Amino acid sequence: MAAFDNLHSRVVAWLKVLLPLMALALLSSLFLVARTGDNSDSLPFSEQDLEQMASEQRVDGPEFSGVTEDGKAITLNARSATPRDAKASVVDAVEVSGTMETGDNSSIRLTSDAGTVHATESRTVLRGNVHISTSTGYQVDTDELSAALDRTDMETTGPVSGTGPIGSIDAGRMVVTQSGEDRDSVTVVFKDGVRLLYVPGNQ
Amino acid sequence: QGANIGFGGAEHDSSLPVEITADQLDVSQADGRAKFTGNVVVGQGEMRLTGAVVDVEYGESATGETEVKRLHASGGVTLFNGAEAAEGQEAVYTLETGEVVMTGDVVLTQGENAMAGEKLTVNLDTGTGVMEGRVRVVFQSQDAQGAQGDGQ
Repeated sequence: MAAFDNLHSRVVAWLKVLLPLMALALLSSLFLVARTGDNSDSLPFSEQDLEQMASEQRVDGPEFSGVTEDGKAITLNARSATPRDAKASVVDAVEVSGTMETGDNSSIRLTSDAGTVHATESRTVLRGNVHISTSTGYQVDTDELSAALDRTDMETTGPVSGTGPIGSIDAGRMVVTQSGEDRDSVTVVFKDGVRLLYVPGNQ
Repeated sequence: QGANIGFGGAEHDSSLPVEITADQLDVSQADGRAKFTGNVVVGQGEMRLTGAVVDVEYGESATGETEVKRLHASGGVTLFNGAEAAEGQEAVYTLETGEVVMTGDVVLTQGENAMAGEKLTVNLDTGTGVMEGRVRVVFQSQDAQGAQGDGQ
């Protein structure tokens, strides 16, 4: 190739060699260097946790979800759940929270400290400051609540107190059931003595 | 054709808190009614309204909050307000106007005097009332009271 006398041609000649080499280096680094991802992050469970979970078949962060007869979703989740027997037909759970859609497409939200799910009877019993709040404005607290998981049918075993759209309510017991001919409306019944306090105007 | 009467002191205020106690309360969320059953007592200030069944009709107020509009008491109703008592079959108490309309052979007793009629309309806030429909008044004249007193 003729010797180039001016600077421009010499620079271009060098670049024609250097640039492809740099491109080659860059391309290869893409594959060679990137290989070293660190996949050694630690497991989210401690050793002690693992043994305990293995020994008592405890499940962390379980979620139970089902659908009622007329197609309304029910979900229950908890911090941890321990089946009582191998068939897991009865499961004890800690820090339970659940949402149940009801016929008149409102929803009922439940939270409690502990609960037991009886899968065969599709029923759950919630214990320990149970809080029930419905999208229609009821916020009720009680100690223990038995709720069906395949239909809207809930009953507290003890006194309830809380607030409703028309004021504060205290009662001996509370039952929430489906009603109406095509069972799409919800009836809330406060039993065994009820006291309602309504403050007009400045609600 | 009604007879005007005074009913209770004028100091009743229908914006006082209303307390309702009963054996049972059924609330059906579809039609926004709450039904108290089983010796229901509605208390507000001095006023007591008792009945076998009390239907609470509530709805949206102007400001959008839920407010109680009317209380329908039925199944044998008594209304106490201070010294007076009125009994009848049914009563409707409209909170906004503080008016109680009692119907069904109403008997109103004020101390010794009694008055009976078909319909009694009482405004608790103003303490006035109107008895209508075959009004019959029974006065205990003073000496009759005296005679009756020592007659027994």
